[in-house]
Amino acid sequence: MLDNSSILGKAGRRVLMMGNEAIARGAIEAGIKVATAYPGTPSTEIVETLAEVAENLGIHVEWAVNEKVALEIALGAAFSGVRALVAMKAPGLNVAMDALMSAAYSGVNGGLVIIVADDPGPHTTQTEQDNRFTSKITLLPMLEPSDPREAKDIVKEAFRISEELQLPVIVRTTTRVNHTSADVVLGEIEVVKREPWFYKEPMRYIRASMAWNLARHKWLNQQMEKAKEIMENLPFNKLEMKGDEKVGVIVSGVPYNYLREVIKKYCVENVAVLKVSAINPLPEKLIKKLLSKVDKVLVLEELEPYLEFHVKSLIAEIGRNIEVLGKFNGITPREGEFSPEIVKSALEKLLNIKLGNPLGDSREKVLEEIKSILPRRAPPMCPGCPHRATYLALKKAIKRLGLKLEEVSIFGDIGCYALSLQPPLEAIWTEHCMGASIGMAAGLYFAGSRQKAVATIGDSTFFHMGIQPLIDAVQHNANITVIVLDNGTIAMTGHQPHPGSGETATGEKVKPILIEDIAKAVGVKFVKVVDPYDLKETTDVLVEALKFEGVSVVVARRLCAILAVRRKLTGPPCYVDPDACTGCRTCILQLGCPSLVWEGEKTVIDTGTCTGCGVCIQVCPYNAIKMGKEE
Amino acid sequence: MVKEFNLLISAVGGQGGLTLSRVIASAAVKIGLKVRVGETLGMSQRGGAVISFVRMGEDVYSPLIPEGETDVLIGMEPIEALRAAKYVGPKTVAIVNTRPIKPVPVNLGLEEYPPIEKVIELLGKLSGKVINFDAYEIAKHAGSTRVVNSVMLGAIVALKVLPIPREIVLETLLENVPKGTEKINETAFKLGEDKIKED
Repeated sequence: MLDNSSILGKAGRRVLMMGNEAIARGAIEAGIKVATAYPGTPSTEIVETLAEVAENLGIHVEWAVNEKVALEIALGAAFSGVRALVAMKAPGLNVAMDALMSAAYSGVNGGLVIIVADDPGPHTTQTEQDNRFTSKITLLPMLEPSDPREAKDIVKEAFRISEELQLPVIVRTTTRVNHTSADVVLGEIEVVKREPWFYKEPMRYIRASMAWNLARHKWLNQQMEKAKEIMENLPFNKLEMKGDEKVGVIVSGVPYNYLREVIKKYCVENVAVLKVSAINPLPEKLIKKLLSKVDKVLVLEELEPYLEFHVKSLIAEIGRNIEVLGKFNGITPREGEFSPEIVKSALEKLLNIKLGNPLGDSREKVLEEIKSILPRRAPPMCPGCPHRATYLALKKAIKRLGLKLEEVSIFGDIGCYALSLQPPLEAIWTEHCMGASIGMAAGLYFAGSRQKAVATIGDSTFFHMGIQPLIDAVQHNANITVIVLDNGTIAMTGHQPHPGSGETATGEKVKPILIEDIAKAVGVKFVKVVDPYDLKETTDVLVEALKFEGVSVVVARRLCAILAVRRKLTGPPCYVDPDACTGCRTCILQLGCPSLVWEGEKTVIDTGTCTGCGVCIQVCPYNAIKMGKEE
Repeated sequence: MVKEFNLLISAVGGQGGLTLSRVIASAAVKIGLKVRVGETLGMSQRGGAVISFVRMGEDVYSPLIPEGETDVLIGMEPIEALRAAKYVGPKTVAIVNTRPIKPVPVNLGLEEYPPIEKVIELLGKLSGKVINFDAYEIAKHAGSTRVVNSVMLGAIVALKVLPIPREIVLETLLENVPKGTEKINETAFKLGEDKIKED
């Protein structure tokens, strides 16, 4: 994380910044007053960076309970005339979509910029949703940067455009912009002094009148007509064309970097290049300018053929016969992220030449051999992770009830605990979207299945979208067990606080909202809190919960092990008594804790990573694992 | 002015690979180089495989290193070094910490950890030069097993393959490590340098 002096540094300074930090700086340069988000990779560091300097700047920065609420907060602020930013990962926009659709009709007064971080790869997202199409559904302007430097400047410009058009502006990024670091030159911080005031204008802000809605729809389309001119002249679009080129490339986002590098490295000449940063509306005149000269065009874009659709319709409009290379003829893939190699190979097809020499067949053979012997290293649950113990207790409770594992469906949810999908736990059956576990479990029960249904959901996921399905389950008396895995933090995205953590994004201490209180308040009759490090007690309570007729809620509460280590709350590491260890491997086979290392004949505990949670002690049938002693 | 210099750090989450990439990239910015660092964050603390691409120079735009174009590979763990194989090539100097961190499926007996000699041999077939030693032991001598990254940094500085002066690298390292651990990181850095010089 950048120190404050860098993120608030003077104009002209050159600083190493992650794309998300550059976006935060762009918002600071635009003089924002409010910033909100729900954490989600790869967007998290934007608001995290702003939270660090919120006090210095005198602005409100918060982790909202979910993306819809985050957007509504930013919108309320923008109604009053100040500038506001809201950031989210791609699926977050789906959650916020209802609010966004109406926001396009009401419009804004102060600039409102929505950052949505898509994830071609995918690296950390459930789908490779291409949110460029969202700009067409919402009818809102959208911009896309290709690197961190541009990200900062585009965000700043987006605020200006938002105010000129009175519309929210979406800045769409991809992981390789958000998480790429680059040297970025800082710009001037604008001083935006405005007295926030909300003026009553029912036609703009009330969607209950269909006549008003029709009028606002017309207004929105008019604004988007005006947007065309702005986007046409956007300084971030870049046409490099001498005029006598016969072939051209139209490119947007991160692939532009791969293209520039390949062109430079292989001294490629006579290719016209148009980089497009205006995604909606597209700069049609600029695109036509290129299309009026070339006979063959390569469209380079990750994921769906968004640009390619438009390019084809523009070709039809100008009536020229131009060959288009892109997704439709399989020149570039629709899935996964691009690489320098994909771009190079596409360029070779455009030019009908080979660029450079292939690396050779012998190399391919070695790479094949490496692939065949390389063990996987998916991220495991951390040493001392309380969720590991909770899932083990659940499996033990199922067995104690005389049930087979396939007779109890364990619905999962979004968070670290989804890592329980891996061996040896192989616990969850689903991981779908935020909060889905509870509704799905209820659905299985209402279907009349003889299987028992268990929903396992994290604390922050429960606050985000788990409360409503719990209410539904209570109202309809679903016979399900809900286990809330409460580690006191939003761990997966890097330990942001949530309503149960007792503090805010900016470090203010507040009263924690307790999950058990919510469960009781909505009418759950069986509510118990357990410490997952106590395997026996947790198993006992889960047995009771599974036997209970109706909705039962068990809160498995224990601080995230990473935080416990940071706060120096962990004990000394455990150790294995080699004389007592029989090498049965039960500890590893049940828990799969990374600190339990198999040394061929016996288990050894890696003292560098063991947090001394003591769960393995309770699992060992030979009492061979001991609690370490305080030094 | 450097045209293109590609450094790849391949590590297990928690080993300090990301700190290392931040240090080298910040040092490069200090001496006026254009820099791009490509990495994917989000699972980095959790013992998963983490790859960082640190690129510098005039001709650099992409956050990813083209296949086979790595100048220096820092393999913080043997099989993680191997995982980066497609990026190494004839010009690569690979420096590998030989201390394994076994992934969970290996401890479970579901997968096998290859012999270290095999790892080095395969890497050697692809890269120009492979240097390997137990950086974990050296870090222990420095006073903490958590400073393997500083040992590796010292080693590549001693190899004189970075386009950044030693003093700038060391200074930037000390600016980026947690307060109170400067001394131990500096010792680790110097022991890493010594390791290369004595060989």
